[in-house]
Amino acid sequence: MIEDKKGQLKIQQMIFMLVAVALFFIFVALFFFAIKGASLYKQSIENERDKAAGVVLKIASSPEFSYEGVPNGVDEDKLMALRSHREYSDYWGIDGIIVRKLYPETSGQECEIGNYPDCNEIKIFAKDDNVAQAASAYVPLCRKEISGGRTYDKCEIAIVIIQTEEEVI
Amino acid sequence: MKDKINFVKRLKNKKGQEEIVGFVLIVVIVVIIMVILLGFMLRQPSTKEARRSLELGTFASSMLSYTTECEIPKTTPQKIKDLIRRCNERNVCDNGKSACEIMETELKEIVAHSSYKVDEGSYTRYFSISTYSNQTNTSLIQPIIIGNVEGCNLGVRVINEQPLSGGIGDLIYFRVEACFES
Repeated sequence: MIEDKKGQLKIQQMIFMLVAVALFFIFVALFFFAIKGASLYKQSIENERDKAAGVVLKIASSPEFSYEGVPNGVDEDKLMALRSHREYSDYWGIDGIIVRKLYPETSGQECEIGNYPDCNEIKIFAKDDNVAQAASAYVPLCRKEISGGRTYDKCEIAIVIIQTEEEVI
Repeated sequence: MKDKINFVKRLKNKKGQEEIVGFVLIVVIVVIIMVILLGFMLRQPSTKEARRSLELGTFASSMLSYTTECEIPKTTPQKIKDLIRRCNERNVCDNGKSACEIMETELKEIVAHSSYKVDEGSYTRYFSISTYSNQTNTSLIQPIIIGNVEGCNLGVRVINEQPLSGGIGDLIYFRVEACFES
């Protein structure tokens, strides 16, 4: 009779222990997933930015934009020729490409045939309602210039901005 | 009778040992799981730092490719990367200014027009550009320093260093360093 009671006590002890250990693990798991879940959104934004930054560099170094002989150089004349070509939107999977000159300072006007190259911004294509800047990268913006009858590469500092609405491929 | 008492004592000792083994086992399992979870939590992806580094690299390349007003000889404008070599050789531009002077002025202006300028509300806490010769280990121009390096203890610090030709047998390092708010 006493030995039976002792056995029951032991079983109870073991059940309590198992429940306590299981509860402990459940709480630890809950704590872990709560922290992970909180940082998930932040991490997804970072991943999107990484992808977008990669796309900017890929675009800048593509044959449609690149300037020969200058690492990462973007050809300003090619950009002018490509202006308003919305078909590139599907090709690159983005909503907009804008190239903005940073230095030297120029008049804050959008580049047209009439004011080129004394202008500030070349819009290859852009969605007016999408003002979000997904990613940008610094590039040397180059064109051929003539000085004293000799041609040379004139490179300025510009920033390539891409606009994305949906996920960047 | 004595044997029986000894037997009961031994049995009790064995049960005690079993409980200790069980307890130790549970503690070991808990510790292992804690270590695994801690490992997962501490394994922070460093994509932000990699992206900042990439951005700084493209900015440094853009600066080096920038065409300045310095012509050596006349009608041949020099890029910043050419000016570094010209500065090392103590050349003077066609407009009478020294290559070093123009390089320093242009670099300061470029940084002032970029997102790397340090002021209220900007992410950049510290930015510096230095150019030094491999042979003499001296700086070609006074290092351009914006912000305070001490304010960057907890920030993301990235460095980009590019070796450039400094003339016969000499290498010039163009080093750009930036620190961002974490």
